[in-house]
Amino acid sequence: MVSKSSQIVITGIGATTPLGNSFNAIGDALQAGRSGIDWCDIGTFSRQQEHVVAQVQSVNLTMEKAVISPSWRIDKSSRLEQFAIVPAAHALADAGIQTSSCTFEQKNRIGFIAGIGAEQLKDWERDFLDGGHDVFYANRQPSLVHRAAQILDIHGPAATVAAACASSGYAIALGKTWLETGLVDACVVGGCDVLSPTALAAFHNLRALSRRDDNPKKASRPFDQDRDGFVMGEGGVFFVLERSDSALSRQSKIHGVLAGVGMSSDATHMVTPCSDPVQASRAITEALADARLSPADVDYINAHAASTPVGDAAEAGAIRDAFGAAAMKIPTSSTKSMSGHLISGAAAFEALACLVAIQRNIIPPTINLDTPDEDCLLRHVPHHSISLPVRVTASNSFGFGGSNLCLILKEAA
Amino acid sequence: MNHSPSLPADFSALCQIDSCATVCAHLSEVQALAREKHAYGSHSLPTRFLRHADEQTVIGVRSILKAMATDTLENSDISNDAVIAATCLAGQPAAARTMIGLRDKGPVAVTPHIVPQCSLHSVASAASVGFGMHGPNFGVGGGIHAVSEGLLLAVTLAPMLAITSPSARIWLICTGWDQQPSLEPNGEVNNDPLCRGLTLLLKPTPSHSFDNARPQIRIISQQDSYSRGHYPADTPLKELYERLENRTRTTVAITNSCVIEITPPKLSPKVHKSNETVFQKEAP
Repeated sequence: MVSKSSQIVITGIGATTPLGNSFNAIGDALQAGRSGIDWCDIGTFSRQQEHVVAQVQSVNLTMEKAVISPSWRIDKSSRLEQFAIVPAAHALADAGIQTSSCTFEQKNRIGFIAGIGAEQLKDWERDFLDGGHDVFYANRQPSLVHRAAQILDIHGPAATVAAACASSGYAIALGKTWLETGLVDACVVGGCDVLSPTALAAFHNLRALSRRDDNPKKASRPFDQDRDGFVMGEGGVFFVLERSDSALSRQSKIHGVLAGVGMSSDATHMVTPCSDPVQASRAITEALADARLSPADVDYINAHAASTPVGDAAEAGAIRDAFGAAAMKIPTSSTKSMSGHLISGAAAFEALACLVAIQRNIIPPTINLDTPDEDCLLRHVPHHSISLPVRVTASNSFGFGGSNLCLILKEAA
Repeated sequence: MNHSPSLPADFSALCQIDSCATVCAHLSEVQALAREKHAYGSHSLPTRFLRHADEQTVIGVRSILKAMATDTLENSDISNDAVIAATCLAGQPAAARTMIGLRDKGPVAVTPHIVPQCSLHSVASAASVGFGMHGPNFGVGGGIHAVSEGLLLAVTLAPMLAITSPSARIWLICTGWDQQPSLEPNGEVNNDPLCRGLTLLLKPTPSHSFDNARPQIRIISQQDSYSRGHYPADTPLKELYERLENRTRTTVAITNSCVIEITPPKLSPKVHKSNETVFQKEAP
């Protein structure tokens, strides 16, 4: 087990998102309240050429050659592979871990947990759209996290986890347990997702998506009384987690501390969040307890709030329940108003947004929040970011199947 | 990073196995199984709860019910338990039918159930929702490493669960096909493969409680394993399923130097139906 004085810290960040492909670019977009949502062509069979989505415009190909296998051909890989491998490689490089100079034993001590909710479905769909027949036979091949680990030349334990829209948050939380138990010395954690015609149609038919097609940049409006659904996004965000003693001995820069995690389940419905906030609130309370912090210690809450009528109100109730009187004092925003909903990658993106808040001492806004819904009473930050000291943040994520997750991130000492 | 061996000397991750059950059924039988009543004791699923569920969810739920039947803690409170479901290539027939519908009829033909019911989280979520378990629920694997990933994440979740919910246990469900369903271009299935489900009910256990004779799973260095049966990280569920039915200690690799060692309960197999085997603990 890890020494009690050691914390779990973030030493590497990599991102491929609709708001940019670097920590600074994403931070600039969040600070400026810039939306990454627009009309985009997402592929064939959709009968509608373009959809309102948050699409990744480019992938940062400035690869760190010391981190990634030269045999990997990015032009031959799927978008899902790109959204996993490229940000994971950047996170390793940012952490100063060059696997080419690691010993065999050191590579064995680097783990990899990816939150990817429907990898096979996306792979089958991509092949099917290209005229292939994989979905009819489902050939057995290693999943993406194992292929990515091989390409990144890391040999520790690897796993894919899925908790729907909280998937990458679960990956981060479980990476913390791997480090705390001493299973690994470093762990690449995060998640990714891609826009797909099947998922878009399925969410549309669930009536979960916004139908505000006339003005894409106004479509995602969490907590607003006129919200009518979320906007699908895509991308990948990965971090390198380490124990603080290990990071300090390597003289790594520390972006922030993963101070606490909390996980729970509503256990009421496969799709709809529970109107009783008790379980979502429990995830927040457990995360605060894990971080040994009280509600009043939190300077910013990054809400899951995807802009759905039921989900946003349920979350506001959970925040009020967990934070008590502090709920109306802590600035709260949903960055999905700008990024769209990255589905499996959303929790990791929002953890990154918390690190932006900590490092820049700003609260990113909820853009399009013109008239806050009475059922979503919180201390909102509408339209524009504000400057405030930010030392401790809480980031909520919720998913289909009633999964609840809260991450507490704080500034490095 | 340190230069220690792949596991530190003081590393410990251990769970006691409180129950173990296996279930299998052919694809042609799954629909009928989904319509059956799913109940054991005070635990039951709502009527028609599995009507949109993937085949692996149906088998996974059946294996949970069978594990409940042999739980060493009878009538235990499961409301804070965690659920981890390690599935391999689930949702394939539904995915094929959905994509054919999307191609031929457009988005209107896409079932809204494909994401909530046929994704990697679906088996775990169905168990959590169906049986009212409020601990963490998540899916693991999805591909050929599903079994080893599920075992790994169950054992490593245990220390955290022991702190947040000391009485909670972990239901680890592993599901998969012996052979994948084979489909015609119109989405019709043209084979009748066997779907297997295995549930291990795990109790987080402190390392000082280690007893080599007790039913348990733990992570150890490969060199420390007592097991004669060693399987690679991509071992199919069928292998583990048969080893546990034969009550044989088994190790499954998680890296090139670490393994999960499974010491199954000393059991008396009790066959309820030809395709559903439940293990019961021998009387002390």
